[in-house]
Formats: sequence, structure tokens, C-alpha cells
Amino acid sequence: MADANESSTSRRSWALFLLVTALSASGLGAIMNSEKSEARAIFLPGPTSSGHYQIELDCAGCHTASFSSTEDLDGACVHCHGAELTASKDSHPKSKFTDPRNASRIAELDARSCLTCHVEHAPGRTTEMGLSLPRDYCFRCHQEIGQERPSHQGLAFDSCASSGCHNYHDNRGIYEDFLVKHAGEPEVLSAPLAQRIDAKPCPSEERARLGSGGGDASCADCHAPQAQTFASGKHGMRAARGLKRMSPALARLPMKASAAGHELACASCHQRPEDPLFASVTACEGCHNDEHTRAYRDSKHFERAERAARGEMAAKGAVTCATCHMPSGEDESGVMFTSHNQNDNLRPPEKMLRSVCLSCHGLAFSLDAIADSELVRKNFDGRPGAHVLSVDWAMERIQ
Amino acid sequence: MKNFRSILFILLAVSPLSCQKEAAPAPEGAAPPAAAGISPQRFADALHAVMESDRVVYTKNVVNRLQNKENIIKASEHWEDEKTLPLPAQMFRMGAEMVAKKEAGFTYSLLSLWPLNKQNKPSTDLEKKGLEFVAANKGANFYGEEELGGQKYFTAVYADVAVAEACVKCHNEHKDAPRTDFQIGDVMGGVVVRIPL
Ligand code: HEC
Repeated sequence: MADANESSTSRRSWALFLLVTALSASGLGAIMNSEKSEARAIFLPGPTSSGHYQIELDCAGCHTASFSSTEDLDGACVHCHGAELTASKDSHPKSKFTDPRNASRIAELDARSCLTCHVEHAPGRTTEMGLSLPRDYCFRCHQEIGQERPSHQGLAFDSCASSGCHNYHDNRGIYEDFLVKHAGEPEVLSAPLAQRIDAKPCPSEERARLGSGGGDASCADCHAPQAQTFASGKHGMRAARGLKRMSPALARLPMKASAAGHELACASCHQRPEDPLFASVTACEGCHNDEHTRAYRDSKHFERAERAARGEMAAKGAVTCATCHMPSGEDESGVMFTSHNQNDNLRPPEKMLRSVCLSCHGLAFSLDAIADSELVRKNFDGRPGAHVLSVDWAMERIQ
Repeated sequence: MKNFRSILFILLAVSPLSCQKEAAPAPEGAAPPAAAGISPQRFADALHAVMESDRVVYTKNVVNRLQNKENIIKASEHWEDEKTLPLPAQMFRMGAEMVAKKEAGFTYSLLSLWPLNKQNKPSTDLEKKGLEFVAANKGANFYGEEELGGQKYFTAVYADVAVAEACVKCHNEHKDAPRTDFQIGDVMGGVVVRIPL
């Protein structure tokens, strides 16, 4: 009798167990498949990097198949970053490592896959640029550099990618002959070369559409490259993936509490075309609350922006937030537009040298300035306290 | 013209067979690649004929003509910044890199025992042996087999000769030059073509 009782109890607990399992499985499945639901956060194996945290709940954006293979994940990386890598003339493309002549290098570092250096959900070991490998990885292939370049003898391999020198992917900015060509330039060039585009006022009927809720889509009708670059940057990447728009409350950078609930759209910044400093300065300050932003109004750059706004100076000499973070450039067909990807120029920060700093400053001075993190924090109010040796080394080699 | 067409034919005929990994299994009775009569050596020779011709055409009819004869535009290393023409060796490398991205079933590169660009030095024992061979035996090609990353390759090396004063002058005077006594007619390096077996 006791036996029968026990077996029916155990049968009952089995049934209960199966029921609970089935219910939780279907519940979890429902969460997983629910379009970008916030509840998906329970599946995150760990916080994502600063580049991806905004879109981490778009799981399928990277995990394109269940139990994605390395190839699947690499494919997802290339889907978003491929065009940029091509444009940056990637110095270490996959094809360099699938080339059999480099087969022995793969044993050192399997650079055929993005994941070798960029593992997500691993905050403990992820540093700038989403790198999850110790920063001295260059030594694995470039040990002999000290013999080729005596100036590099004894340099630590974690310093290769520091300001003013090399990058793994994007090395367009600086090369030896470029350093030589710009050696000896003064700190401030006599005539600024900056090419800002004066925003043309939006036709009134378009403005009306904007006001009546036409919103970002109507802007994109006329401003396609601006809209595309906005969607790639930190302001628009969430909306571009069908997630709730970015808002300061979701940010990892310090933001003003008063702005927490604001949702980012074109009109967040473009709302007072009559004020030349609104979209390029005031709007930024409306949300951002870090030291660099707060120090801007004490800088010489702001002084120039103000003078230009008052018409006392040509607009191209003004330096606003947008001058550095949303630089004007040419699209592929040579048409000038303002990039709305605020992140592009920061990946790596030396990208700013060519697209911004060198328009007004000499190369050596600019290199020193962006290498001085304290000066960056103070928004360049002061003089560089760091000195990057690359120009000196390049000059030594030709003497 | 006839020659060109036959090379083209060989290339077209062989390229699908050369990427054996992806190729669908041959239907019963279909001829295996070897039976098609194209050896890796002939394939490599044909590829090299195209590469060498393109290299000469670009050097003579584009760079030499525009730079030296007509004084219209120079060729220089930083051609994008300087708004000039790419150097012939850069032109060659850009093509090789694009082919590598296409995973076309073969790879190639322009290398040297005395490279200006350190990436162009030999990286395998056979490359070194081949470059030494073509430098020592004027007019002869080098053929060999090597295993890299667990895969066997047929590797051919063809001499790259200083055909013009410009080759010698630029290489001897370059600040990265590991060798400064090249003379016209010298073997300056070699084209390496590699085909998986
Ligand atoms: C104006 C300078 C210049 C001229 C002229 C020139 N080269 Fe080069 N050559 C270079 C540079 C720079 C490289 C390295 C290119 C690279 O980045 O791969 C190079 C690369 C090479 C290489 C690969 C090995 C290496 O040194 O990196 C060979 C072989 C070569 N050139 C042969 C020739 C021949 C043959 C000619 C004449 C037909 C010639 N070059 C003309 C500058 C020149």
C-alpha cells in the first residue's frame, strides 16, 4: 500500500515537473520570439560592449541562427561593419589570413574570424574598440619590428595602438611620409581650412510636415545620407533596428536627469534653424552631462563659435560640438554632407586628426593634444601635456 | 589575339575545377580535372602570362607614357593623397588582394628577397627557395609543392626583372631599400602563384 502511494506520488511529481518544464519552455520561447521585447534581457549572458549595448536586445541581429556558428556571427559583424571596413582600407582583412602564405600566422592569432579579438558579453576583458584580447596582441606577428625600426626597439607592444601611431584596421590617417610632410607646422595654421556646410533652411511646407508628425521619415526624403549616417551612430541605431528610440535614460554616458525621458529623432536637435548654435551645441548640452561637454563653453573653440554666430568671423572658422563629432565630408559621388554618425570620428579618435584638427592646427600639436586625456576632458582648454614621438622619429629616419 | 583567347579559354575552363572544395561531385563518367589535360603548371603559367602582360601594359602604356613622355601625371606611393597614379607594384597588389577576397581557387603575390615593403618578403621556405632560384637562373621558372596549414599547394615562382631605369632608380634610392645596387636587367623579385592541390 505504501508502495502504491509512493509510486502515485512520484508519478504526480513527475507530471508536475513535466508540466512546469513545458510551460517554462514555451514561456521562454515566447519571450525569445517576441519581437525585441525587453523581457529578453534574461537571456543576456553578460553585459555587452559600449558599441552594442543599445541594440543588445535585438538578439537575432547577431545570432542570426539558433546556436550560431562562428561563420554566422562573423557574417553578422560584416553585415553592419563591412562597408566601413572596406572604406577604411582595412590593413588586416580576412583575405590576408586565408592566403596560404600566412597560414603559420593563424596559429599565432586566428585573424580570419572577428570573434578572435571581439568577443561580446565579456565585460571583464573588453576594452576600447570592443577589443577582448590583451592589448599587446601585435607582438604575435610583428616581433621583429625593433630590428626594422630602431626607434621602436624596446617599445611595449601594448603601446602600438596608442594615439598617433597604429591601428589594427584603419591606418589611412597616418603614414611615415605624411608625418614628414606635416613636420614643423605651427600649432595654429594661418588660414583655417574647415569646410562647414551652412544648413539650408528647410522649406516651410516640409517644416510643417515635420511638425505635424511626418518626423524622421520625411526628413530622410531629402536628406538620405544624413539619415543613413544617423542610423549607424549612437543616436539612431536603436530606432534603425526597430527598437524603442534611444533616450538619455538608456545611455551609459553621464546625461542630464531632466532629459531622461526624451526620445531622439531629427527634431531633437533640428528645432530652431534660426539659431546657428542650437543644433550644433545647445541641443547636445541639453542631454550630455560629462566633463568634456560641460567644459566646452570655457574653451577657445567655443569663443570662435560664438563670434562666428554673431557674424564677427567666417562660419568656417567656428568649432562647435558638431565640427568634431559630425564632420562634413564627401559622399562617394563627391557631394558634401554632414555625417550624422557621431561615433565614426571616434573609432579610433585619431580619425579626427585629418577630418577635423588638421584643418586649423599643425600635425604634431594635434597629435599631442588628442593624446592628452586630461586635456580632452577639459575640452582642449589649455596646452597639451603629452608628447607623441612619431613625427620626431619620422624626421630622424630621413636625416 | 588567338593566344589571348586560348588563355582565356583555359582560365574559364579551369577556374571552376580549381576550387575543388566547393565543386559539386562530378557525375558518373565525367572527366576528373587531371584528365581534362590541364596540369597545375600549365594553369599557373597561363595565369602568370595574364598577370605579366597586364603589369607591362600598365607600366608602359599608362605610367611611362603619362609620367615620362607626356608629363601629365606622376605615379607615387601615396597616390590617393597626392592625386597621382598607383605604382605598378601597388596596382599588382590591389588586383591580388581583390582576387584573394573572391576565393578564386588560387592566390598570387609579387615578392622579393630585397623588399621595400616588408610584407613582400618570402614567408615560406619554398617562396625563399623559389626567389633564390629565379634570381640565380635567368630566364628559368621555379615550380614546387608545399604544405601550408594542412593543405598541399602547387607553387610557381616567375622572375620579375628591372626592365626600365625607373625600376632601378626608385628601388635603389627608396628610404626603406634593403639593397641599393640593382642594375637594369637584374631580377628584382618574383611573382608567386599558388594553387591548392
Ligand atoms: C616610383 C618608385 C617605384 C618604381 C618606379 C618601381 N617600383 Fe617596385 N616598388 C615600389 C614600392 C614603393 C613597392 C612596395 C609596394 C607595396 O606596398 O607593396 C614596390 C614593390 C616592388 C616589388 C615587390 C617587392 C618589394 O620591393 O616590396 C617588386 C618585385 C618590384 N617593386 C619591382 C619593380 C620593377 C621590376 C619595376 C620596374 C618595372 C619597379 N618595381 C618600379 C616602388 C617602385
